[in-house]
Amino acid sequence: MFTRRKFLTATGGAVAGGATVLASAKTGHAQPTNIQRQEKPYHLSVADYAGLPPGQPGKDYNPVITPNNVSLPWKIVDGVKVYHLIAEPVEHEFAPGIKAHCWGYNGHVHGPTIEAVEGDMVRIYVTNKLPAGTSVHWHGLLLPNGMDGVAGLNQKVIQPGETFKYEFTLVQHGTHMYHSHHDEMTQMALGTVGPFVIHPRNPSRPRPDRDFVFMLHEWRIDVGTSRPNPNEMTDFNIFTFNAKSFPGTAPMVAKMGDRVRIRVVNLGAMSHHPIHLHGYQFPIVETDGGQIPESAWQYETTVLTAVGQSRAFEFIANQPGDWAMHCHMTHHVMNQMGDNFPNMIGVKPGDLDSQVQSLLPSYMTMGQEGMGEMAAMGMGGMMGVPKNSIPMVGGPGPFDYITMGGLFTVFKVRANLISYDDPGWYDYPEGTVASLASAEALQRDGINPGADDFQPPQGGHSGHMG
Amino acid sequence: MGLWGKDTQWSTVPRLPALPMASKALPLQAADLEQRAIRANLGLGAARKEIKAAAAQLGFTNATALIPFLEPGVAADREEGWEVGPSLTFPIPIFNQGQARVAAAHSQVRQAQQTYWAQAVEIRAGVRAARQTALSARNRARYVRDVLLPAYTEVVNNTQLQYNAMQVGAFQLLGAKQLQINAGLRYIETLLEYWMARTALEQILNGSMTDLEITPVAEIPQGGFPAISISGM
Repeated sequence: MFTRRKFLTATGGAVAGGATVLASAKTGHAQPTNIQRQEKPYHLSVADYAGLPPGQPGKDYNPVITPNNVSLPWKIVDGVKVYHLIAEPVEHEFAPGIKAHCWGYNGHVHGPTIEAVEGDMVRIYVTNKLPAGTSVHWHGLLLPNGMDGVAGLNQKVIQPGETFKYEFTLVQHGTHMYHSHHDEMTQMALGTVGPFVIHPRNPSRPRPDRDFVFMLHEWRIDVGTSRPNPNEMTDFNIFTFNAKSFPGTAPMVAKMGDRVRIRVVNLGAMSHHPIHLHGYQFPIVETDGGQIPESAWQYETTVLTAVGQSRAFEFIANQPGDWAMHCHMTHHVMNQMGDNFPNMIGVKPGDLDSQVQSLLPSYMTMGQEGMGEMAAMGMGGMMGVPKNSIPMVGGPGPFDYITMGGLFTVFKVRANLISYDDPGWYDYPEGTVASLASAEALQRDGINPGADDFQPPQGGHSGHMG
Repeated sequence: MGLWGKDTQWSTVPRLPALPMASKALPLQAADLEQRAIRANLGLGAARKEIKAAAAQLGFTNATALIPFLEPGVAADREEGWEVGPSLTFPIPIFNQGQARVAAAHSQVRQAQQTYWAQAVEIRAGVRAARQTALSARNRARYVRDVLLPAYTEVVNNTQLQYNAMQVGAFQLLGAKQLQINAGLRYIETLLEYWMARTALEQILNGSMTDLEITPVAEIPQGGFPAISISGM
């Protein structure tokens, strides 16, 4: 296990060596380092990093990619990384067709990813342009109590128009988050959250070639409205990766052989999400408590990330194709799905449609065979839905309409890539795509589908498709 | 209805006439409604004859001067405090024998005049009440037509969109339609109230209003209420 002691020996700093001696002199007996991550009080940990230059992209770390978002820019002032977060209302598009008035940072929902390196001294100015007081809590970070950001407890509320200064040294690495800690129910529900990634100074494992971070969130935006309802406790209808719902989610792109790390953090109000990646098996290598030792790795295909948790998993991208990554809760991959109507599965409407149409000309009985046809029909265009809504909308795929929304994105792996721009849909090799079984194949294998007299359901949408 | 033969083969129009436009609702705007009523009223006409008859006993050939003066400017000025008790003057013949008979005739004239007056007052009050009833009925009908019906139509249209988005079920959609239909029924009721109040007013005015135009009724297109053109009504 890589301890701070080993790191300090590697750098060979005299001050660092002194601190080590001081520590063991104080305690008198060996600390159980393999179970206690925080070996020392914060201020002593800070001393260990004294004199380190601020981490630079490329040299000290590969910058993380935040699909559909950016990293917060910083500048160096006297060896300190200085950031400026501006909390403000932002009009945000979740997917084409739905925009809402949210609260975010620096013109983005969610806030830009704060990225730094273990040992960096960071100074973060927070300007409040929200209509309400706010604060920022650095979720998972070890820092002086007065910088922890819980309004009322650790600091005064940042009133609208004020700018506060947070300053601390990063004495850890991992995938963390930041979010408002004043009236959290309202402010976080409106979007005041963001990822905080701290790269290790001397990583013991290889750096990933492709490093992605996703913030999970959930929203209640009633169909036809344009403001999330922060009071909602159980009935959310929009679920997002980095505040985007499929088909608004930008795909991840990797080359064959790339080491890929996917970090998932969850700051939704109430829902945990089992994030499932197709085509791969992977261990969870890191949380916001730091790296997980290899001996403790547990291989999964689905990583459960509870509210407030952070999970990073890693693998080598050696399977080409377009691989789905999505939350495996089925209602979390639907956009603005309603549940306030009777169960229509199997209903045979008879002449109900023509009778009702004498009163309501555009009435149509729907849902007897599920939702698939609804989305594919493009309900917005054909039948009319309230403005600014994407009920049950999915996205076009290379073969058929993809009837998924919400927490759904695509991980694209290609053998030959010139750049990491979206390479379009995968070009499937001959014979590797599941398709209609030919008569010869059926006969050769003695399969009798027994479907010659199968009648697909009559009427309904087939009549309306036109 | 006192009809026979061919006259029993009558039918009504299929729809109530629409609310007349404000500019065309002359009976409700006319300032001389009360005067018209006074002039037209048959009862008053009979009362005038009584005055004339009573005056004839006194030897008057032209008793017009004895009929209480009606023209505006004297004591009959519309809604603002129309005063009862005008300046009544009528000549009294003094060179006549039979003073008792003359005195009795005078009393008869005065009595006829007072009866005329009382009737006129009642007619005026009746006209004002009938006018007010018709006006309120028209306002109610206009409110249902111009505010309620369009609002319920909007609700139906938006509920249809919510239904298409699978946020509500068919029952809620039909429920919204039912509210709209109820509003439509209410409109028909208020329209009927208006026309009945108008008819009552016209009866008081005692005769058809020949200078009144009734706007033609808008056609209801196929498909029922949602397609109705409100502006035509």
